[in-house]
Amino acid sequence: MSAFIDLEQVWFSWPSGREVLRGVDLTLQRNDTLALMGSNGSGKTTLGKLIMGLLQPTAGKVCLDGRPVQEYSLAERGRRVGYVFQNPERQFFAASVADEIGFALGFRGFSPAEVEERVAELLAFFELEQYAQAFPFHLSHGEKQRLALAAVMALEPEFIILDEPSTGLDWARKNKLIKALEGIRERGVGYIIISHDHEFCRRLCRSAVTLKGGRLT
Amino acid sequence: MSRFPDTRTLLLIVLCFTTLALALGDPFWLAAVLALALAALAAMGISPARLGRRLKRYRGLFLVLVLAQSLTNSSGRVFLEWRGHVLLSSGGVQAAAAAVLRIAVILAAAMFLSRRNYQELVTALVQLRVPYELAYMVLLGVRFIPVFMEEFRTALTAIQLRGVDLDKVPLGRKIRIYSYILMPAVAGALIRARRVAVAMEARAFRARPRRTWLEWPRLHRRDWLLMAAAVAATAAVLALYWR
Repeated sequence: MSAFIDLEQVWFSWPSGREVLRGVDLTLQRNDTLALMGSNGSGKTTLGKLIMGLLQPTAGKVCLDGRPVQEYSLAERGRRVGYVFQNPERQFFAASVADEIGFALGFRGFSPAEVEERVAELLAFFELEQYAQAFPFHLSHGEKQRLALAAVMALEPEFIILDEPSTGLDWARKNKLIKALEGIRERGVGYIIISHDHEFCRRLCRSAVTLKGGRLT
Repeated sequence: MSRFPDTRTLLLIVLCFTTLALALGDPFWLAAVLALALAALAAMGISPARLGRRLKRYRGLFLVLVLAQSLTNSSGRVFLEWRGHVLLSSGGVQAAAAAVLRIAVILAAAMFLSRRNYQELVTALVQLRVPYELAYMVLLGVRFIPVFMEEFRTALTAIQLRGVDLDKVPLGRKIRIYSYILMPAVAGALIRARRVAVAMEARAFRARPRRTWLEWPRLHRRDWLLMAAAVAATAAVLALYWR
């Protein structure tokens, strides 16, 4: 079976010359669940952005489902791989939580009834029903994380990349997020969790890699 | 420790070049002023190549300016005409060149301050008797522009990552999408502004009418000489131009 995400000898340096990644190899299948760990500034987020094609490697190849990721448009990449930003606020556009979840569906030709049904399902799944009409920026951090995930899930991606999803969450909210991600895993959707949180990753991921000195260990 | 030139001296030089950019209308004069500004930047160790990179960013705006000037100014020799409408004339070309050079001079002038940090600029404004609250607000506002642009770019990326293909969306819907992008950018800006305000007040900003300053630079004799030279040169150029 060919890999869904395939990184081959990926090197990356910032224009300042700082080398972040030094020959990273990584192969993932659609239903893999991987924890990407490492200290601050080790390049975890950079690696996530390279997989999404938001950054271009200095050398090496990043492929998505057998094709170089840059061959896909941003929208095509987004439809196939959901990306939850480190700061969830950065991906909110709509005036209400329900609109936020249904945002992309409206642009993809779903009828209003279908959008409503799908939004209701995701609101329930992520325990956000009571906030359906709330302004996304007014939610708590944990609710924002779940909303970002719900909005990404609305697209039914084949894979998700979550950047530091447990940061700033207390244990109860973290548990809610874990429950949501376990549900996603049961649906056969794989993910990469970029995090420092060992316990959170241990509960959700089958494998883990650490980024140190620009290399995966 | 005082630096040479003092930030106030640089502010005056910026003011001189900006005045010339706005007062002069002839592209040849503006080109000469731009050359002078670039030479002065090079003398200060600031690479004039940076201006090229800045100008590249505004190339779309320049194109619109050039088109607008050449279409609205039909004076001088006519180069191109269509059904009685002058599309390109020597007057239009001159006006377009002047508009582009004017912006180039203003951008070059701003580069004189590129080696000064935020605190040095605030101190200089306060030394020029601008109330410190106002000085901080002005510079926070200026510093905020690139942040806002970055927010806008991120929102544009995020919206496409939600499966919206901007290249394939019809114009009407595209406008709707751009209105969506403004929402997080503006909301983010307001939230950040509120946080900064709270953080500043928590650190006793405006708690007293007067502040103490860690550094209070003094003007050297060389600064006075440079300022006098800048003002005299500006006055001389204006006198010659308006003669």
